[in-house]
Amino acid sequence: MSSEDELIRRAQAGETDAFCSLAQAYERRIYSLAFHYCRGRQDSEDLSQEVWLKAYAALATFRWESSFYTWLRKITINCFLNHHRGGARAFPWPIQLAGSATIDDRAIENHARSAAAGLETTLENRLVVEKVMQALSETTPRQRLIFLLKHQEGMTYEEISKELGCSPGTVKKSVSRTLAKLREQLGVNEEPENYISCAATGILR
Amino acid sequence: MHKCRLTKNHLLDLTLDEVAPAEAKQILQELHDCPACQEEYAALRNTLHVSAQALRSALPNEDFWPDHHTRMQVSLMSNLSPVQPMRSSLSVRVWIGLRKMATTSVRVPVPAALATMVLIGIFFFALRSRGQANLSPSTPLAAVETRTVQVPVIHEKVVTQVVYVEKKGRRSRGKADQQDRAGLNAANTIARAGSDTSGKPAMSLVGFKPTDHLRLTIIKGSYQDEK
Repeated sequence: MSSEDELIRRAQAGETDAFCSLAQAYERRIYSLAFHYCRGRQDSEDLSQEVWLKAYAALATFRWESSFYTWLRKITINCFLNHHRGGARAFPWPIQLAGSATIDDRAIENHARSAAAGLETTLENRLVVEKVMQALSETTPRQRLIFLLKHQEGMTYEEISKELGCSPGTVKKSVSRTLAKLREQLGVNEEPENYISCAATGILR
Repeated sequence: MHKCRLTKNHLLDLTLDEVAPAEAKQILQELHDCPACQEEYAALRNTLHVSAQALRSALPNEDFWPDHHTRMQVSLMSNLSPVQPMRSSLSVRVWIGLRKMATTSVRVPVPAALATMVLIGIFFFALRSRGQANLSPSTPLAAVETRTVQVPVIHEKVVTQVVYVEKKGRRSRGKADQQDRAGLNAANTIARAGSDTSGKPAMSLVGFKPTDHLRLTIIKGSYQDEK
């Protein structure tokens, strides 16, 4: 039995410490997904916390039919969709790196500093990131979620369609629309000399 | 033969690894011969690559995660401790089990349900009849008490008076009414006279005590109906 299985069993038996260890293994992925989905730090934090709380409440329903992460991702998708239905705040723009602190001032400051350091090393980097975020902000939450599931999570059209209850064709169309927005923002549709030279930005390696 | 429009339809699938290896090989072969499609494919790949890198860059740095984990842990601990779904005591679990059993519905085929109901009915009927059989000899007979009760008897006297009304053909309404009334009076007179002449005593109400209840029977008809 792997350590993850052991942790799941212990968590199912009610050990919150075991559940916290499980959460530690996947919290980055969940937070990243939430961060790209809703873009606000506060929202990402709330959303990922909600995912973990729901996962704990539903832990007894985990039947070992899929991997733990697949099961967790299902909960995450439902949480995201409900979050959107529940009147979530709009995708904030521009990126809030040094906005008002509400969770924990020190943490936010650290986050802002680290994010700033990671993002804005060069002006070009920032420009590209902003353009990508702008393109994503112009999509619907559902389109954004589909794009993230496909592009970031590497799920197939079939898997996404099953999770969202739509056809693979709809998923493909949605991804295609998001890509068109991205191309438009990045200027990839224009003449080669006009669009952002990815190599020059230092992003592409 | 290569058709740019058809190939471009597959380019997104190819970029997102949604085509089988054999098909991917074929599309790539076509791209090799068509610079326009090749350019489109490169643009798609670049877009996805830049997006992926940008999304990764937007994420917080390494020093964010320990704090994030601490916050998450604190939040989980504070929210999870009162829930404790698996640490319920035995009595609570028994109670939950009983409640679940009481509220759970089970699908039963209609014939089986009917048969069960009939069996239960028969069982109760048999139980009841046996109980009655056991009860009857053992229980002593109740003492018979005789009481004289005065029951008001209704004096009833039926007075039958046959009234013949001679009907004629079609008449005008006013005239007919007048004639009917005249005929009725005449008939009453004849009936009274008939009873007097027949030797029988005329009907009288002597000795008749009126009661609260009065029954009046009216036989409506004509002499033609009597025939």
